[in-house]
Amino acid sequence: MDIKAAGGADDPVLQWVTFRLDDEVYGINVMQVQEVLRYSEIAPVPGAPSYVLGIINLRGNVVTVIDTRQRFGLMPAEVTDNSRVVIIEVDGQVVGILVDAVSEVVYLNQSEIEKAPSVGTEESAKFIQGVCHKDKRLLILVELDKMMTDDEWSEISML
Amino acid sequence: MSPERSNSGRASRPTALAPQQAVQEYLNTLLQEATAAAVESEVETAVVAPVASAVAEALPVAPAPTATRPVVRPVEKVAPSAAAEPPADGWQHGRPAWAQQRFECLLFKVSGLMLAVPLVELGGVLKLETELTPLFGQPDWFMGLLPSKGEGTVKVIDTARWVMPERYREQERASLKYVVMMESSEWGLACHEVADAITLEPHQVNWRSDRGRRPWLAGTVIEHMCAIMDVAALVKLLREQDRRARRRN
Repeated sequence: MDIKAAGGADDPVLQWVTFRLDDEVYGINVMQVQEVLRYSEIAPVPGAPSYVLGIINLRGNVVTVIDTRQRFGLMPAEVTDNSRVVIIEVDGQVVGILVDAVSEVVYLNQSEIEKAPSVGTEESAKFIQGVCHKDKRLLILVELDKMMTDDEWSEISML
Repeated sequence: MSPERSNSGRASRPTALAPQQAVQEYLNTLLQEATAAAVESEVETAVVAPVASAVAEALPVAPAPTATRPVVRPVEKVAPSAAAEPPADGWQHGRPAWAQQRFECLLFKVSGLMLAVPLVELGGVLKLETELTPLFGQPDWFMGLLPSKGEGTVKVIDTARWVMPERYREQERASLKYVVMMESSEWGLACHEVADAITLEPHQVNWRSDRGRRPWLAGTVIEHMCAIMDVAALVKLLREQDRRARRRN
């Protein structure tokens, strides 16, 4: 995937994969997305932390699936035909995140991204990177690296 | 109707206070606090001045074998009520910089309580026509983000939760119609109604002297039964919270 530098070096254009949770649209950096899978049976792992839904078999590899709603502090919801597992790579670790639906890839100039408020004291507020207007709605950009602490990433790697 | 505990915890109050009565009681509380604090401050000043004079007179007899000049210092430098420099919050003569002479305010209503924002600190008024975008992990007084062509992305505050959390009613959130923007900031106060603009003289306002407890409150106006907001203080508070949170992250 080529990233267009139409905005110039001072205002790079970045690509974001957007997905939905409830009525909100979130974006994650396309460079961290490996693939998007339809929802399939997730095998629960006894003793796993509460934010882990379970594991899936991805072409012979075991991938841990994270409960994104729990991470974002949202209420649980039923899985639907539109639910997807987005396979992401963070610091060399591959995990899946379950979302309500995956939308499109959007192109955003760096200058279009606004800072989100950081007045929240909840841990989940840490990984909101910014917000952006796109097609008459606000896109919430998420920093996946901060979705979990180093200890939590280590915990997942040992599942 | 059996009496129940009100939000203030007093068991003898009737159960269903009319909303307007509840708001007036709350405003009265603000006024009483402001007045009580002002009176206390005057008493302290009156007590300190004679003491300071007594101290100044006593200074020449303090042991100073090598001193050739009296050690007496002017009383003005000892009295705590005399401020040599303007305070950091810009308040002078017990009121904000924008209230040193006649000033104008916009009145707006939140859950029956009339609030006022000085026009010099008003950024604009937006209609809450589109749904707000909520953000996870935010405090309950943060309603969400409102996109605006003119103002950019506005961070909307549930004003009632901030100003009178003890009297907050969740069902009133649905009828919020406007957002009053705070000047030079990305923050806006959600409200139910926007009323008139009024002109006030500084003496018409009971200015807060106790600035610690409700930093957002500049003063109260009995004639209009309203509370004037100190927008600069509120924006400063929000930005400090923002900076602290970013440093933690």
